[in-house]
Amino acid sequence: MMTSDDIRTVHQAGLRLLEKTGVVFKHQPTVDLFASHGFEVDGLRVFMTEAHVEAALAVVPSWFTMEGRNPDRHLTFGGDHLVVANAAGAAFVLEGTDMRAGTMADLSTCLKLSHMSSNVDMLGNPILPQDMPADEGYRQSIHCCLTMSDKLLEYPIATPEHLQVALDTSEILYGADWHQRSRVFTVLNSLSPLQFEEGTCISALELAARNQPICLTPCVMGGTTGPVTTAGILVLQHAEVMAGLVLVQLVSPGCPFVYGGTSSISSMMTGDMLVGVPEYWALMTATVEIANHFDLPSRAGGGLTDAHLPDMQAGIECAMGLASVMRTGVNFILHGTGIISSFNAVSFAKFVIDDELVGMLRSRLKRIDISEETMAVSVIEDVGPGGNFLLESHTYAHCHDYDRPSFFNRRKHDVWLSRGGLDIAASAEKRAKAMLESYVAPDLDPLILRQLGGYCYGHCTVAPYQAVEE
Amino acid sequence: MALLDDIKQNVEVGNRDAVLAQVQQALDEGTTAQDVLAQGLIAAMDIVGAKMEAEEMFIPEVLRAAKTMEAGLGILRPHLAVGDVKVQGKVVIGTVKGDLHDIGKNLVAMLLASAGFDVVDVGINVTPADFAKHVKDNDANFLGLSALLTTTMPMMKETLAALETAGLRGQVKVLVGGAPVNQSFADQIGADGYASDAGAAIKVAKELA
Repeated sequence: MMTSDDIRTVHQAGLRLLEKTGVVFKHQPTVDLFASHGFEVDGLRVFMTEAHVEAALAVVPSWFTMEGRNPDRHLTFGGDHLVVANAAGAAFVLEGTDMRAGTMADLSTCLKLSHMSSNVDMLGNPILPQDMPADEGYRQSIHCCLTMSDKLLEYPIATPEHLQVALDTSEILYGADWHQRSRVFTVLNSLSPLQFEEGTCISALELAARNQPICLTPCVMGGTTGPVTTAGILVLQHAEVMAGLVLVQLVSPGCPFVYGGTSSISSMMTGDMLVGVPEYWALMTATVEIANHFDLPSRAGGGLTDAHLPDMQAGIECAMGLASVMRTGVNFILHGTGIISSFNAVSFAKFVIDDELVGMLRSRLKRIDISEETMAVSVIEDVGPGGNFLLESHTYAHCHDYDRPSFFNRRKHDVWLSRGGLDIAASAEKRAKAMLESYVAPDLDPLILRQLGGYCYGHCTVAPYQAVEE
Repeated sequence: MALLDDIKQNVEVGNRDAVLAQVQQALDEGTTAQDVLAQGLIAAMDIVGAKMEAEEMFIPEVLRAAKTMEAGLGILRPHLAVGDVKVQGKVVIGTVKGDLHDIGKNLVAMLLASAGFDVVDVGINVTPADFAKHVKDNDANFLGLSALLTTTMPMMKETLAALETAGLRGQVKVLVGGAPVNQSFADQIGADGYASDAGAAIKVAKELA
């Protein structure tokens, strides 16, 4: 746990980087904007003072609500709220030990699982389909995300073309005034150390101009794109988040913003980033603590593992990764379910295991309710020493309190064996199959559906993946 | 020879000042530049390569050894004839279009250079057409493609297509690598080699040389 003094020290160190070293924004209009507000600029490098950061912190909201097409699924970021989204951006699918290229069909499977899950609140675009050209795949993927579920989407925006798709599809869904409310949520990454690439700058400017939320998430890799030490990683990450915050608030004071981080150490043997390690959990905990300190919504952690099977290693690493941030009060978790092999692949079995894990952690985080009724002192007195509670009306009234449907085993060995003796991955596959069979697409206005189809499939050379029939 | 052994050990631990002094000393004492190179510098890097593969040396240690080796080579170079340094191959290396990440690529480039390859680093965000041009201009027989992002990985396939179109595919062995890349992806797009990390990349390149 970081003390307030620790946090202030890290903040001061981050400010020193912003003031003395500066940050490169690889987009002249962004640099010009800083210059026009009196920031010191040298080429593409922008220097920020403590006063600039303080001014941004003074106007950024501590929470905001995203509104989607289903009012029951609006999502609040900040305060005590937790939003969990599924895996995002994986290129591969892991089945058994076999890793293969992800397809549109896999994307559809993942979205169905997300839609059916009671623990996944928000969609990430889970798979980058490799069975069609990249530009068409993007529009078709977005079409699947917007039609197969009415949960809000974390739009993956890596290029100005992606940004345009996000803006256009929002207009189709919500009309010309769509940006009167928070509709498009995206995660933008800095290019560590201390850079923002052109596409990121453009997205930040355009989205902030429409007052849409931005979750700025550096992914500093200790020893390669950042210092090797965890404290150094934290300082660099903090400086980059503050730089993004200052930019967004300059464009649009009061624009919703999420303090994100998914930085970790790298293996000094191979250079690979590691996410199943204690240092990652500590960094993610610290990320949330710093965001809390500044009263900003936070994004950190996830169901991340370096394992290549939904096995015990994966279980341990995911549970530690998720519990670390959930216990600290994180507001947004991307990659909450289904991601495996670091950030590279999706496993459907792991998806439903993670789904269960998120549900268990949500229950675990509830305070034990202390009241006359729940302490049941009079019931204990009535039963007295040596009695039993099974026939008490108090027991009858509360016997479903902790009854959560689960595919985790809770039965004795012989019963478990008679039911197939399945391990967790095999049970999870059965569970995934059942979820997929019960999937029903949510309703969507036929006119909007037709417009979305025309927009997303209109110029396709590859046959549309018909996830939802018009 | 004790001095060459010392050079070897000092390269391995990255003691630059000692290597610079000892390489000069060896030359002054009449040892040929070829012997200093083969029995001192290259012998050291062979050990470093083996230790990296055995997971006994970490990347920062390997890089320091490689830099030390290069420094020693700088002193030897005026004393070496053109044919004395065996060039394993000419490598063009870069990060594919849309991807601005270069640390992995830089690491592989440095290690390839220290393993005796002639390396031309063409940077980041390189279009398929530019890769083809660099291969042609440099008459390269290896092309190394790097991608960190799942979103830019498909650009490797397009780069291979550009080589094909330019009629250059036959002259270069294409090696691919980066966090999301794997052997089956490499096979699928028709690359000649894949390595999971920088140490392995050198091994694969040497095998294909």
